[in-house]
Amino acid sequence: MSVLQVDGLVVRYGGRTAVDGLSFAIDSGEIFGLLGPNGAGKTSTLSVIEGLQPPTAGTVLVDGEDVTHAPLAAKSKLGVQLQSSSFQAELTIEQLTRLYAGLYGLRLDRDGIRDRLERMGLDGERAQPFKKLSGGQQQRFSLLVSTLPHPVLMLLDEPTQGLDPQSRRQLWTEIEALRGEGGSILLTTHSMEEAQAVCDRIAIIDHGRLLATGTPAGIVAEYREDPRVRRLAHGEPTLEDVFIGLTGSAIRD
Amino acid sequence: MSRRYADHATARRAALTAGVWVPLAVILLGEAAMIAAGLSGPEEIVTHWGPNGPDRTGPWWEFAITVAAVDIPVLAFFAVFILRARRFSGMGRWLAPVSLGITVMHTLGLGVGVVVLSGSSLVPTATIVGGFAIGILAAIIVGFALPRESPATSAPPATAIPLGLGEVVAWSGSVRLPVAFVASIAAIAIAFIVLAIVLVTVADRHALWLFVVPVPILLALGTTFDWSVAVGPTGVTIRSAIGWPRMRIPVDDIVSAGVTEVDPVSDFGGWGPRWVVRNGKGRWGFVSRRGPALEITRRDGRSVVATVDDAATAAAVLEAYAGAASGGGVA
Repeated sequence: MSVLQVDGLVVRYGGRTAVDGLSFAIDSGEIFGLLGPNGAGKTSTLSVIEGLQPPTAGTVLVDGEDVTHAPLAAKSKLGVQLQSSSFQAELTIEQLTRLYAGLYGLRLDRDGIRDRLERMGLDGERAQPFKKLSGGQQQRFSLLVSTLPHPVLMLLDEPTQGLDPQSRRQLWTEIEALRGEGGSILLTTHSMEEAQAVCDRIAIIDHGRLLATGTPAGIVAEYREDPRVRRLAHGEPTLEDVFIGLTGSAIRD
Repeated sequence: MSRRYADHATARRAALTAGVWVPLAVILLGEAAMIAAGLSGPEEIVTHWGPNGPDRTGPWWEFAITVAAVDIPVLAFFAVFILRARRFSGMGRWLAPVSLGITVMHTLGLGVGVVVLSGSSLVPTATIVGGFAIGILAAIIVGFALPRESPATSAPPATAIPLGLGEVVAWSGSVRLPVAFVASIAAIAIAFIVLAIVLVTVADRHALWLFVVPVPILLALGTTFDWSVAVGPTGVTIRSAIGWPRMRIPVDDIVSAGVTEVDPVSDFGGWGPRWVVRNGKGRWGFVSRRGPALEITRRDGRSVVATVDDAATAAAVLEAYAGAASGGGVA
């Protein structure tokens, strides 16, 4: 059974259509990347899945729960990591872990907290206030908090944006580890390198519509002879060539 | 339209209900709500906020204990004054509303609200502001709804002391707060000074502000612990032990002098130099204790009250000169 089923999703803001009949599904244990230029409809799609934005039309099922008709049941299956997280800056990450575990209804003892921090490579920082963590540590901590209740589906919104290569690689390892524990992940990214490194399947969207879906290698193979892609490629086409070929090279703000 | 006033028993019963029993129910219900929310919610919640946001976490029951530890003594404090109040009018009618307001404000704003909404961005600002607003609203509504007694009338003029022709009489008296009370307050001020010295020299230079705390305490003590009243042919002078505040009323400005019973909290809202409005006229009070006091009524209707021993003699002397000044002459 799919852990996420999006069917004919439409999101309109007044007269502007942000998502226009989008459909895709994520299987259990899968890392799925949603790729698109700015304004493609990624954030609107995530907002509907997170229950923050009602869909204009279409259905979204999280592990079988309809986000419109059973929002609490659907939300209880989700873990969400936003692009930038703002935790209580003066609290130590040990305090924050206990605090957020409590808010999820979990009772973690000291060993349980240390175990979670250790798995994210943060055990040495447990007495540090959140504000003293580096950008990569903050993102890893944010990932830790969003996985505390063992969600069925994790939504990661550009999780490695602004991180240095080392931190990015470490976060990819953590994301892979989450999948290894049985979780499914939907992530949005602008990084083709990231999509190829961690995603089992990707979907390229633009103007709210699905342009291509499949494995990163499969999509490259499918569009390698497309004239829009060939025109851009210097040698063998890459995923980035396919992405720009399909979405256009005009700069989006 | 004239207002119907309640008798003392009715006003007292209403004040006890609104100022003691209802706040007690608020505390108990608040404790129940905190226990219910605490047992079903997170084990630890944010328990302290600094200038940069939350900076400490702890168990939810810290708030349940704090509410009980603060609100029950405060309620007991108000209960004593409501039980001892001689009249529920003027400042006295606000005893019960203030008791209710403080209890509601603290129990809801810094107890129930924080525990029930823990984890929400509404905590603590919205809960404190909300608790404050609900507390003030409750106090105002109850303040105007409670039955009240009629305002105390001015003290009846004392019988003037008979003076012979050319005879001059002067009277002076004073009232002093109990030595134990004065010593306790002074000890608190000294404790702050010692604490400030220790903290500043040993630990925290930011504790300098502690030196300021004893200043208002000592000032209040200096202006309250000992009052002297001097009555003579030219009028009356009331002054504190340190010489300020000081009030002089010329005999020409005095209509009458008598003895009145003063309840510091009910009549003036506390001790020390006080000013209240009664029947639309200003009323100064130099209040050191509960009991008989000299009340002087001035030509413009305002009055001055000073708690002083043997107030009856002071009033009789003043009546003699006030009567002479207004054309009564001296026998």
